[in-house]
Amino acid sequence: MKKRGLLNPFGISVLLLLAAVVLSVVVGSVTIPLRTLADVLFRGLQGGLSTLDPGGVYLKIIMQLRLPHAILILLVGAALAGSGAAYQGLFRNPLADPFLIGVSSGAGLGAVLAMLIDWPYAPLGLMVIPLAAFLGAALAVLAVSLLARVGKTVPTTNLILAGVAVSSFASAVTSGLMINSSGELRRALVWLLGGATRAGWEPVLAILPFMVIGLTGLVLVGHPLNVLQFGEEQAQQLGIRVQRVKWITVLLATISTAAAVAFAGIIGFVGLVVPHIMRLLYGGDYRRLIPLSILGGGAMLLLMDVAARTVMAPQEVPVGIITSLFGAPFFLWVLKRSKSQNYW
Amino acid sequence: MLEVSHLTAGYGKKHILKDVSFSLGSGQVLALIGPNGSGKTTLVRCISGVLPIESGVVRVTGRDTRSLAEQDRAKLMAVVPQVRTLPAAFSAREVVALGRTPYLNWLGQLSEVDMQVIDRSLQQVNMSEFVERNVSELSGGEQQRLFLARALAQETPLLLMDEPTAHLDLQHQVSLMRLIHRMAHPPAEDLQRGAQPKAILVILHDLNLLSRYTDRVGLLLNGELKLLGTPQEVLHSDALRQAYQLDLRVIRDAESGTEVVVPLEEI
Repeated sequence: MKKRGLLNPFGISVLLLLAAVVLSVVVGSVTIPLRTLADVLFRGLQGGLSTLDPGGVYLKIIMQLRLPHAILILLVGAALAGSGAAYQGLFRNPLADPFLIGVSSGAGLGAVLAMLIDWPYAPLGLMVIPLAAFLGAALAVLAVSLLARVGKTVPTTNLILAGVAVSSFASAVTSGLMINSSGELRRALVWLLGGATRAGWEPVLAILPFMVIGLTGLVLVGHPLNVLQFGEEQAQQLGIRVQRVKWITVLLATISTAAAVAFAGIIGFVGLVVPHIMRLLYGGDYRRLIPLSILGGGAMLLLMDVAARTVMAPQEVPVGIITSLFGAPFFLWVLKRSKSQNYW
Repeated sequence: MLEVSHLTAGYGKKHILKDVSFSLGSGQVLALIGPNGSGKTTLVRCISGVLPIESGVVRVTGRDTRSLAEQDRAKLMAVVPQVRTLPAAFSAREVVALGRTPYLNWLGQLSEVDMQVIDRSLQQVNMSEFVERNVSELSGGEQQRLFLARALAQETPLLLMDEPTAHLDLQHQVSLMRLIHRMAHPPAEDLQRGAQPKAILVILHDLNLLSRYTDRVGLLLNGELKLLGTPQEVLHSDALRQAYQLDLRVIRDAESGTEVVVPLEEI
């Protein structure tokens, strides 16, 4: 915590997040003026219609399309950034990101497998996909940590190489499955590239329990992660149950990532970029870094999503493409920086 | 305070420590010496619970360490590790605050008492002016003292130190050793402030520090405790010469009573 004050980091992040939600609701094929949005929401709360929206079309667009979409994107961004920060603390490595270490691809494989099976009950299907994604993600993180480990540490290069290997493997299997499956290939592809395809509140409600468990839990592991930065041996000598902390953190981060992937596809780099910005601005104390990353991740992905919906309008670009476009150069910058400077 | 009996341990099938027994009471500094690879660090890791015990028992205040949870163990003994790399994201104060971990819940919130202990620990190692400094800006000696402050913040009756004087210049070596001695033998003013005499186990390489700052010396060789005695007994023993394969001459400084070791020919 080098820089204190700067207003209040949490206050700024919450304001940014709210602004991003409003922007996300307002922007689209029909642009809703801010004044109209305010009036429609205000009247809507009273159960009436705004004079600016006599037919109730705006109200419908806002409540049934834009707002649930914005909240889904917010939760996904929050989950990716929050789990990214947690993975970084766990691996003691600044380049850990759910996408880079293969967790997202593992979750994607799990989800695609579940999608290919025809579930007899549709409501069940909505829960089966995140669970399958979780299993895939858990297997991937296990594989990566086994492959990358040298003695007691996980060197950066090993982590990235193991992540690339596991990720490529999972992606290859996923692609193979998709090509072999007839029918909804395009839909699955758009989903996989990070376009939230289902509209309405259903996916929001389905993702919510995973997010509540995953993100609340991640906010609570900040202190043990701080102690863990001194190495497992010292953490144990300071009274931390290291194995337990590690398992709980992996579990929580993987639940969050898997739910995000199950509902929004594979979106890279949010889990890398957001924690890094927060670390640079407000320091490396995980008790602050994780909640700030969660808030910032929501805001960041909302902005990326707005960009994805507008740059090639009326065509929507999958948001995963936009995050990679911005994220990959940032990743290279961090890689260079982490070698030359010891700020980590 | 610390009781080690018939301790055998190692990595895999290789026994590094063989049937080591000794005890250490409060108000004593016990130095562990021995050639590289003789098992000194392994012994400290074993006592602190990070390396499993194969056979034998380690008791602290009469309690078998294997029956203690991590948190309770960390309230009984603190370890000052050898400084290698520090995570740079922390300020000096935050590092010392982590010493309070065994007394905190998962959220790690510090109470007023915790803050006082942290301040006092920083004062004891003369680091008060560094509190807001980032650890990456500290010198090796300052980082070493910071780790000592963190261990002091654990408020444990037993302190284990792994080569705390390595990489320190002469002045810092002496001030650190004086501090160690003082913690085991607190003067009246410290006692009035509520200080308790600590039991301190310290790994040392510099034989010249023994006579002045330690009460007893244990000589480890190939995982066995060859000799345990006063600094004078150990310095003048044949076992010491055999352990290091050196002919040694011990010279006594008449004024201070300090004994220094002059290495002569290899034997």
